[in-house]
Amino acid sequence: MKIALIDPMFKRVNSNAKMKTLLSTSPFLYFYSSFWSGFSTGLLTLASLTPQDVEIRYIDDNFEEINYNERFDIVAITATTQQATRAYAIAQEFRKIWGKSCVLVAGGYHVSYFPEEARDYFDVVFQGEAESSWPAFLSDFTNKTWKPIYRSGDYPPVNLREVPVPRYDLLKSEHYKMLWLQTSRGCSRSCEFCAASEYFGHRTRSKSPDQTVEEISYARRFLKYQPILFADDNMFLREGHSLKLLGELEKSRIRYVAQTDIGIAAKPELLDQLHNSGCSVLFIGFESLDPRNLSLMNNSRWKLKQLSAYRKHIQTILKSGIGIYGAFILGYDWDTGESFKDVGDFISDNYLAGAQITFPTPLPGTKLRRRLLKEGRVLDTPWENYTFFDVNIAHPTLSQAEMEEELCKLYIRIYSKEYLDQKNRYYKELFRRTLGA
Amino acid sequence: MMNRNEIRDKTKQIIANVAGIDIEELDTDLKLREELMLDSLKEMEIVARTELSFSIALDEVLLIDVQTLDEYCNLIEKAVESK
Repeated sequence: MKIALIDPMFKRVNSNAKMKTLLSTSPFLYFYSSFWSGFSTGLLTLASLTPQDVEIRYIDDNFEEINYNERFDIVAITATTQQATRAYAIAQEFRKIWGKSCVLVAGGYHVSYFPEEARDYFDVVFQGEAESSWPAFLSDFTNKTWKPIYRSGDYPPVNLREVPVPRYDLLKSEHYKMLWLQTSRGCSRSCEFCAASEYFGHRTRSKSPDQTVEEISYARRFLKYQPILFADDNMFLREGHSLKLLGELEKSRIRYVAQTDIGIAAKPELLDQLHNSGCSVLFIGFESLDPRNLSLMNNSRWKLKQLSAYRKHIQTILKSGIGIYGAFILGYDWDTGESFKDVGDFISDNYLAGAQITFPTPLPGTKLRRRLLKEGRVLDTPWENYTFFDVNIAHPTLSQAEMEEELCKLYIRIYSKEYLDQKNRYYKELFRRTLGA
Repeated sequence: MMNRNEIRDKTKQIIANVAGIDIEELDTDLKLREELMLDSLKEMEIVARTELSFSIALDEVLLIDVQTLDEYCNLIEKAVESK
């Protein structure tokens, strides 16, 4: 049996011409762009769950041309919302050449919410996490009894402690600038814009510390130099587990970037251990500086309660020798043109090492989409526009052109030579102080 | 006074520690930004560690032209020798 696992082309920007030009020309956005280039760990995990006698090809549409004349028994394609249109086009090409002799399979985030849309192009659609249903499908395929839909809810819940190490050996390592790893899934914060917590659930499930160390060690055989980024959406919510994991990471002598929330600043033991275990940067979602937006984004008001302490918490984290990469969503309901400037001031006043500023994106399955659909504010844009840098919603006061213009101006400001020099001076002194102490 | 090899070994160890990889993986022609993906934050950590280790002061402007591990080692050698 021969299987193709395909990660479709990912467009960083679709229709926002200003942002497209900036991302492709600014020398100061090189690292920023590299951050978000990656491979599909999901597909590599499915490869690990496939019997060893099956021939597997991992094809990354971002870097290599797909040879549609190559014969596969199964072509499995993953897709985020932004990749969906491309995934459908790839499926159509295989269908044209191979007809029904090749079984076309779709999985991933987008088709989990729109299985019927995907069924127009694919024979089989996976809804939800596929670690439990994929082996069942392969068995059904062998017996010629495969079904059109495999729902994760119909199979045992995915136990991350039993998920095997992804097949990093299938990657062409020269394509990738970063090594993305995942140690847990799920987040209890329940923010209305967040797709991951809806998809993976609000309870955190984790791999064991030993599993993570084994995975790093295996991945490093194939991706030797790439900086490590943990893809967990909120990695340190469970303090006891986190301390154990960080203790193991410390022994590995790695350096890494992790994603968490600002609440980490109130956990001194964890912060110390983060530094000791090699964390160089924390990616933290500040989201907005406007309390009305934070109330909308997170109805438990957890985010709102942190707002007044943002600056103090940032100082606490920086003093521990860890840099901060901030995430902000601009173009939310209460934002004005001034909000873009305020966020720029906040970033530079607090010496954030970098920032990701995106537009609110009504991803399928999110509370944000449900609210904006009710308000009649979701624009009729194609899926490929769901990049986070393109406008897909009607704002109460800002036009699409104003939003695009302000976003571009903000990126130019915080990824400028002037801010880089300011930041470098600050961080050099910070490191001298923390290392010399 | 450290000899050239000692300076280079110590400098390589600093870069390996900041990058989080084994020193054995560091080839001298390795490109620091494009291959090792050192961002400005890590660059500043390397500079701070280097300054503290060798008791020198580095002008960050000189780093702009540094592309490879070998070039960085040369820069540090000169700075230490002219101390």
